[in-house]
Amino acid sequence: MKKILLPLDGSEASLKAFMPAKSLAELLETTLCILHISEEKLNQDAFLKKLGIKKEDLKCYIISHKAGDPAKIILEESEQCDYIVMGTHGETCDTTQKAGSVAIKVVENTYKPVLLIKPDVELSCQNDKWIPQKVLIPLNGAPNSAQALLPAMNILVKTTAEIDLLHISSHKAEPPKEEGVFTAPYYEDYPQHEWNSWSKEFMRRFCPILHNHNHINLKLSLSHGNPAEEILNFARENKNDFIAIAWHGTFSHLRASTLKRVLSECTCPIMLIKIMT
Amino acid sequence: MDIIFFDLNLSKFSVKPYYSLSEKSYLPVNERDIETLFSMGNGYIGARNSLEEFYPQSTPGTFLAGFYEKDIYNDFNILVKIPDWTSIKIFVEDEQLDLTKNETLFHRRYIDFNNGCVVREWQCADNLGRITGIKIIKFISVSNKHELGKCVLIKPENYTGNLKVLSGIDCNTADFNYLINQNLSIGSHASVQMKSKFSDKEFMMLQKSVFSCIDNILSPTPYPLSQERGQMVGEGASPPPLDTPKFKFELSSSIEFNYQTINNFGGSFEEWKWLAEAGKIYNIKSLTTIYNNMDTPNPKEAAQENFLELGNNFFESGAQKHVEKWLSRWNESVVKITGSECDQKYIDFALYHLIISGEFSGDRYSIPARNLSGEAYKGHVFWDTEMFLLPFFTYTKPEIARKLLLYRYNTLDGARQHAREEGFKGASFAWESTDTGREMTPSHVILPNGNVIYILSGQYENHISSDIAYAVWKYWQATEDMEFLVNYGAEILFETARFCESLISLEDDGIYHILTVIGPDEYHEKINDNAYTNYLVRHNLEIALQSFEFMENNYSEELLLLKKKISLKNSEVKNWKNYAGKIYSGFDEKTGLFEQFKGFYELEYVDLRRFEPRTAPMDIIFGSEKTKKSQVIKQADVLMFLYLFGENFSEDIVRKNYEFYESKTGHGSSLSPSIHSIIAARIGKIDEAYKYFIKNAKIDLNDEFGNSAGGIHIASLGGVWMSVVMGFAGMYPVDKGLIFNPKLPEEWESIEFSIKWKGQDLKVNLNKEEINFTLSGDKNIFVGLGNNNWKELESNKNYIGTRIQEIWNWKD
Repeated sequence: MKKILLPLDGSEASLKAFMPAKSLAELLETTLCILHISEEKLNQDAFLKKLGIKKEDLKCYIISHKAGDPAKIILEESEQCDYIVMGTHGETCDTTQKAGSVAIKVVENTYKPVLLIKPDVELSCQNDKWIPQKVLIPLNGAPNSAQALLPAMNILVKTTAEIDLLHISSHKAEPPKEEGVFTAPYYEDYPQHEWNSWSKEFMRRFCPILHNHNHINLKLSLSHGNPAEEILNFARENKNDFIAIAWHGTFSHLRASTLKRVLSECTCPIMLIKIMT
Repeated sequence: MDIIFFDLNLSKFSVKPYYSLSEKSYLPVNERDIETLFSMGNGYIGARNSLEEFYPQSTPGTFLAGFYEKDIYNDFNILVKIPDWTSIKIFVEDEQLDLTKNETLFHRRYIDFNNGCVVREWQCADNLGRITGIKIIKFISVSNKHELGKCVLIKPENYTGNLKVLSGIDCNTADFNYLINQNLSIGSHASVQMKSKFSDKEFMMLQKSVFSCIDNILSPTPYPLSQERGQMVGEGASPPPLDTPKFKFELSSSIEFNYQTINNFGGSFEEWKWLAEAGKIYNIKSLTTIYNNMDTPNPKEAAQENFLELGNNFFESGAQKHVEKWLSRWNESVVKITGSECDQKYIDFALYHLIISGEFSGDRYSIPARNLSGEAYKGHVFWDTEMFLLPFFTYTKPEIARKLLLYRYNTLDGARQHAREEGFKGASFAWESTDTGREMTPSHVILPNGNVIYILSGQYENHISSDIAYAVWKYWQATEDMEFLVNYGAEILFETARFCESLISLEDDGIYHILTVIGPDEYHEKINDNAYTNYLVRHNLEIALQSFEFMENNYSEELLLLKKKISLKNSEVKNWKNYAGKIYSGFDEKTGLFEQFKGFYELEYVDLRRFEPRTAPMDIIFGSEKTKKSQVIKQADVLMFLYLFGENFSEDIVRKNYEFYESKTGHGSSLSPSIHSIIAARIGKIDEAYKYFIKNAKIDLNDEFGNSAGGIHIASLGGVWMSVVMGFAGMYPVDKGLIFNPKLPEEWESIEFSIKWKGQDLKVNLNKEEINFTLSGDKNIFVGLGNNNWKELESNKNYIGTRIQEIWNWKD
C-alpha cells in the first residue's frame, strides 16, 4: 500500500503542498499521511480548522502529530511512505532562499521522491485537483538518473500528461562516467535517419515504462548549452507544470548548480529524486 | 561424425573469444548495443543477437536482404523485419529460466572468430537452488545462404527434474504492418510462411531439430580452464560446467521425451518435454532454412528440399560446411598484427562483420549502411558500400566486389530515371538506394530540438555516381575482369560520364564548373565547385573514355552493341575527352591547397578545440545556419579525394591540405576518422594516424556516441581494414601494380595480410625495417616500394624490401 507523506508545520507556506499531496494520493489511490510537526499538539478537528482543511475534502487519510526536529521527524516518518510532498519553506519563510533548511535537509537525506512546492507555486488545477498536464523530465543520458526517476514516471502513467524528455548536450564537459551512458550522438552520418533512431533508442533505454504505454504522449527534445538555462527556458516556452529531476543529493558548495538555479527560478512543482550510488 | 559445434571440448571456441560479459556486466540498457555488436549474417540474411528468451529490453530482428516494401508512413522503401528464428525458452518444472529473475551464476557471450558463430554461456540457479548450465551456439551459414543454425546444450547440474524447451520462429518480432502470416503447419517442423501485404513477395522459414542426450561418463576436471580463457571471464564469476575441456562424452542410446509443434499467428515452435537427469547434457540442434520468391520460384518446396539434400545428419552437414567455408574466408581476409593484442581484436571484430556482411550480398541487393543488423537507416544503401567496403572486398575477395558492383548495374534503370527526373542525362545513382535504384532519401527530418531540416542529398549529393564509377575502375584495375568491364562496368562508366557531362557548365573563364552540389561535407549545401565532386567527375570522364578506347580496340563488337543499347554517340565520347582536363579543381599552386568549394576561405574560422570535450556534433552545437557560415567540416572532403587518388599527389601537397583541413573537421560522420587515419599515416604523422585508427575502431565497440543499437556501422569497420592496409601498411593500388610505403604505429611490431591482385595472391608481411612479399599464382605482378621503386614479382618467390633512413629499397 503506497502512502504519501505531507508534513505541515501550520504555516501558510507549508500548506501550499496540501492540494498537490491530496491530488497525488487520489491519483495513486493511496493514503495521505498528514504529519503535523509542532510543539503545540492540537486535536484533529482543531488542526484541520487551523489549516483551513475541510474534512470532506479528504478521502483516505491519517493525521498524526509529532514534536521535535522537523527534518529528523520527516525523514523517520518517510520510511513508511513512498512519496513526500512538502513545501520548500515553512514557518520561518525566507523566500530569498531556494528552499528552507528543513526541506534541504530532507531532500539531501532521503532516497524517497520529494515533491517540492514553493510558496509562490503556480498549480495547474482542474476541479480542485492538481494533475500535471505538461511534464518536463531532464535526462542526462546516465542510466542511474533515469532509474531514479521511475517513481515520477509511475505517477505519470496514470495521467494523460504530455511528457517532454529533455536531453541537454554540452561542450567543454565530459559525458557522465557510468556504464550504459547514452548521450547525444557524436556521429550523425545521415541526420534523416540518425535522429529518429537515436530518439527511439533514448526513450526505450531510459523510459521503457512510458515508452510502452500507447496513451502517453512522450516527446524527446535535444538542446545544447547551459543545463539550468536550457531547463528553465524549455519549461517557460513549453509551459511545463511539473518537473522531475534526478540528483546526487547534496547542495554543498559547487554542487547541484543546475538544480539550485532551477529551484530558485521555477515556480511549478518539482520532484527531486536522489540517485542511488 | 561429431563436429566442433557440439564437441564439448569447447576450448576450440576459446582460442580467440572476443568479448565476454559476466553477469556483472549484464546491463539491460546496453542490451540493444550488444545485439548489434554480436549480430550474425551472410549478406542474404542478417540477425541481431538477442538473448534467446527475448526480454523486454531486447529488440530481436531478422532481415532478409532485398525484402523492401514501401513505407506506410513515407514515400520511400524500407527493409522489413521478418520473424526471428533464434527464439529458445527453457523451463524447469514449468518455470521459465529468466536472466532477470533467476540468480545468475555465470553469463557471457562471445563471437567465435574461428568458427563464425556466436556463443552464449549461462549458468543460473532458481529459487529452489536448482542449477542449470546452458550453452547456446548460433550461426548463419556462409556456405549455404539459406541455412541458419542454433544448438542448445542444457545440463541440470544438481537436480533431476522436468525440463521443457520451446524453440522456433517468433513472428511477433516481424513487422505486421507489411506482412501477413500464412500460418502454415508442416509435420515435425516449425514453419512459417509469410507474404507481403503490398507486393507479391513471400518467404518460407522451416526449422527442423534433433534432440539427444549426452552422458557424462568421466568425472569432470575442475576449473580453471586455460589461463587465456580465465582472463576473459568477469571477476569472481564461476565457469559454466559445460565448458570443461577434459570432459568426455558419448551419445546416449535412448531418451524418452514428448515432442510437439505449436503453430499460431505468434509463430511456430517445437516443444520438447522430458525428465532430465542430474549431470546429463541435453542437446537440441536446429537448422532453419529460409527461401523467398525473389530468388526461388517455390520457396516452400525449396525450404523442404534443402533438408532432404542435407540428409539425416542435416545439422552436422550444414554446420560442417559453414565452418569449413568460414575458415577459408577468415584465412583469405585475416590481418595479423603483433605488438598490440587489443588492436588485433579491433581488427578481428571488423573482419568478422565485413565477412558476414558481404558473403552473399550483391547482384540484386547490396550491403546497407548498418548491414542487416538493425533497423536504423531502413536498410538503405549509401556510398558507404563503394567507398568503404569495396576496397576490402576488391583486394581480398573480388568475387564479392563484383557482385556488389552488379547491384549498381542492376539498378541502372532507376538511376537513369532519377537523372531524367532531375533534368540530367545518363544515370544518377540514388544517394539512398534500395532494390529499384530509385532515390529513397527522405525529404526532411524533424530534429529533436524541434527544427525541421530539409535533406538535399538525394538531389544534390551527385558525387555518388562518380564514386560508383571510381569503384568500378578500381575493381577493373585490381582484377582485369574483362567480362565484367565489357558487359557491365562499361555501361556504368558511360552512363555516369553522361551524367557528369550534364553537371558541368562552361563559364566565362573558359573552364568547366559544377554548380549547386553537396560534397562529402554535408554541413555545406548547394555549394559551387566542390573540389571532391569536381575531381571525381573529371576522373569519371577519364575512365569512361579509357574504357571506351579499350573496348574499341579489343571488344569492338560488344562496344557496338552497347552503343546501340544506350544510344551512345561518338561525339559524346569526344566531348568527355575535352572536358576532363578543363574542369575547375580549386587548386592553388602557391599554397598547395585545394579550396573545398568556392568561397570556403571566406567563411568564419572556428577553433574546434575550444569545444572539446563534447558529446554532440558541431551542427547541433552551432545550429545549421551558423555551421554553414563557418569553416567547420563534417568529414573528410578534400582529404577524401587525396586518399582516393593518393598516387597523384606529392606528400607535400597531402600534408599541406591535411594540416589545413584536419583542424577544421568536426568528424560529425563515422566515415571521417578512418580517412584521417590513412592520410595521417601516409604523411608520417603516425601518432595522429593511430589516434584516428583507435577512434574509428571504437565507434561501435564502445558505443561512445550512442547510435550502435540501430545497427553496426559497417563502413567504419571497412575503414578499420583500410586504415591498416592502405594507411599503416601504405598500400596504393595503381594501374601498374601495388605500391607499399609502410609506416607503423610505435606499438605495432608487424602486420601480415594477403591481397588479391590481377588474380594473384600476394602475401605481405612487414615490420618497421623490412617488408616481405610472397606471390602465389601463375603470373607476375608489379610491386613498388616508396616512390617509383618498382619490381616485377614472379610467382612462388619471396621478395624482401628494407628501409634505410626512411627510404624503402629492394633487397637483392
